[in-house]
Amino acid sequence: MQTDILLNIENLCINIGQEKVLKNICLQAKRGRILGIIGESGSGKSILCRAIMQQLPPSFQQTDGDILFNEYPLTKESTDIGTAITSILQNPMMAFDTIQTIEGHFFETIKAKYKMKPIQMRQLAERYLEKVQLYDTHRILKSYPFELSGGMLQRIMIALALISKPQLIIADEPTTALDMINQHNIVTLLKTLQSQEQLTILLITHDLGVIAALADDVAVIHNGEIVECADVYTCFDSPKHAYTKQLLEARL
Amino acid sequence: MIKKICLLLLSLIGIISLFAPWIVPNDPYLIDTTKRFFNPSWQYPLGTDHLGRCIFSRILIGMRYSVGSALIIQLISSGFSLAIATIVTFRQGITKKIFIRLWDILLSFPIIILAFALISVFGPGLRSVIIALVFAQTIYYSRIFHNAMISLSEMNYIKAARVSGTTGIKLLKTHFIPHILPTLYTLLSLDLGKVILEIAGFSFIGLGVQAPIPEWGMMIDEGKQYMRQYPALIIYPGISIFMIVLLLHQVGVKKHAN
Amino acid sequence: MNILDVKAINKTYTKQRWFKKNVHPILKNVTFSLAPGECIAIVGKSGSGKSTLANIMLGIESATSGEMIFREKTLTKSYYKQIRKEIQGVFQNSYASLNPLQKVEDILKEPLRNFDLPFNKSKLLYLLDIVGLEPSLLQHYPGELSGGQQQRLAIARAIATEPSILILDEVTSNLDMVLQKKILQLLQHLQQTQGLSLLFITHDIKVARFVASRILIMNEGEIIDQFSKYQQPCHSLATQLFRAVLPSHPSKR
Repeated sequence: MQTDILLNIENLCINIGQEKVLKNICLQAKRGRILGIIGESGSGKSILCRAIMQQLPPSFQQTDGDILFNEYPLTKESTDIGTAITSILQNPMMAFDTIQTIEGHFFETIKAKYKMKPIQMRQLAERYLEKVQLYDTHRILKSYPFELSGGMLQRIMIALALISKPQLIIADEPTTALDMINQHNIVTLLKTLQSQEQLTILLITHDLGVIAALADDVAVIHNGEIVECADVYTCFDSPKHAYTKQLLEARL
Repeated sequence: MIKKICLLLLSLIGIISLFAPWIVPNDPYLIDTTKRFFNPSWQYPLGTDHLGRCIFSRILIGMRYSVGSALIIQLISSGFSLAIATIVTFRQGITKKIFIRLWDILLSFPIIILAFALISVFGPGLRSVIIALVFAQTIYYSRIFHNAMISLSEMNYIKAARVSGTTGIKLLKTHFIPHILPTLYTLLSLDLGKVILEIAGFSFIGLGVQAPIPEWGMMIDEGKQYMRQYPALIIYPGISIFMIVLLLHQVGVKKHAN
Repeated sequence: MNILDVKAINKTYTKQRWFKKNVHPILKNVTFSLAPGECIAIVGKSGSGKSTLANIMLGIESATSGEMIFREKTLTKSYYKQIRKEIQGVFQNSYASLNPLQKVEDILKEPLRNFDLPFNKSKLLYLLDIVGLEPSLLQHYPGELSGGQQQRLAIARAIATEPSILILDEVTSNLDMVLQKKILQLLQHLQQTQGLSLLFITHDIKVARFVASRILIMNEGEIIDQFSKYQQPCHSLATQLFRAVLPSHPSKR
């Protein structure tokens, strides 16, 4: 059933021990749009990301609320995670298995969804590398992660996230560990891919510039609560919450 | 909780070994062949050995030799290792390269073999054992401390301290030593048990202390021929070694976890 | 008169393996000046040699060739020892640049003691006040402070000796937007009230444009472009950096 709202988070509450980390989070990611979540470190945005991916650390517990994907609740056993929902993580240099070649990473991801012969998998991998504007495909596939730069690894991570043709991509601070030029390149790439493939992206960041460059809708998270939720123009032009105003004023 | 009990017991042991010569019920060296292999009694709390000497008194006095020597070895080798590690860390060039190669060579031998070699030069006896073990432990520790210091010197706060004008000894004292001390304590306490065992081992094979010194390993060595009939001769010193090493490990491990 | 002149600083790193010598140049012919009370920024990506330059200026590393001139006198090792308190620095990772086993008051006392300056309580409280920290923090350890507080403490330590030059090596790179702006404003305020000359090292051109009156672009150990705040860069790499700035409003995509 196709609805406008792809991911619906209702009253999500997450605790660590007695302490509340996320309080009554209500978010909606609309199909074909980029939802940007902005907050400072410690605001709970990373925990939110992990909660959606059903990868909460053991000490954290979801005490209330639902995470609905296509109107079905997401659980640890949901097969959608990793196929219909994929992720791009923060520090590309750390997100790869250092003893596996890039080709190995691709095969692992492809095998999870498709049944193909190695030669077909290789061709698929090369096609997706070209989609993320990496053209030296043969050399890249044979390389190990430590032989490649941060910018390249981030593009490869995006390619890996796209390969299973997901409906939702969760990008957790995809540009934070990169320098300015690479940041700009990744942001441009994400924008191009989103319009080409009609992706829905949940973008988590602490940088207002990334939000300004990419997001269609914005949710501001502060101290575990969503303090503002609007489309990007309303958020920038007529912010309602004091924290949002503080963020906007902090632009250089 | 366990740590507190162990520390308490260890301090008790420390106090006892300090006052041992005054609190022993009998002379540990007094040979009386008429009193061989007595069972435990009020006069002889753990009985007597094959030469009629009080086992309990020998254990108490032996404590000073086993534990005391181990402590001396650890303290001296820690001191030397810190000094060597400091010199090697901060001197560039040839000195550093020589030491690193030396460490590689010496550490590729099992420590005991090294100690053997040294004892064969100095002859058997407690003093030789101490020298040999100090040497072996120093090599082992100085490399560990050197590595710790190298990784410390990369820290930003060392850089910041140098910019603030702290140099030389002051830098060492305020910024390096406090961070090395936990490693030092752990090593000291964990290895104390190991060193006690090594001293005992050397005495057992005859290369360590010589008779009639009641070092625990020596006692086991002397008692091994009577193992069948009177196992008490090896059981009591054996249990003593076991208990001390266990207590030390408990204390050492806990300190590390802190 | 410039307060600092850096002339043709070169730094090469030589690795000798048996008979083969590998020479890696890290800094090539770096030359620039700093006027009293001026704030300049050196912008470059990581690996361009900016931190090595900072280390050389702070006296932690020595250059392979070239010289630095402070107040019209060449900086030799002995002269540096004398004027060390005049050139101080703040580093990127504030937590790592504070000894976790030292209390805040000892951290602040250290530079004062080293240069025989008074380190009484009123001086310490004064320093804390300037950077906006509460007096109650004196007895705490760095681990008990927040990231922003740690960075302020590092700044307080750096200005304790009343230096003339403050070198800031990526001090806001790990901070959130709100905190970043607060720290930058603090530094600007300090510059005006204490008459400091600031050398700001960063990879973020927005930060450079906010604080500095003159911007130098560094790439692979060389200064490839220099321009004032209101000018445009000439070098292609510099222009690339400028174009890479993310928009401040969605309409500017």
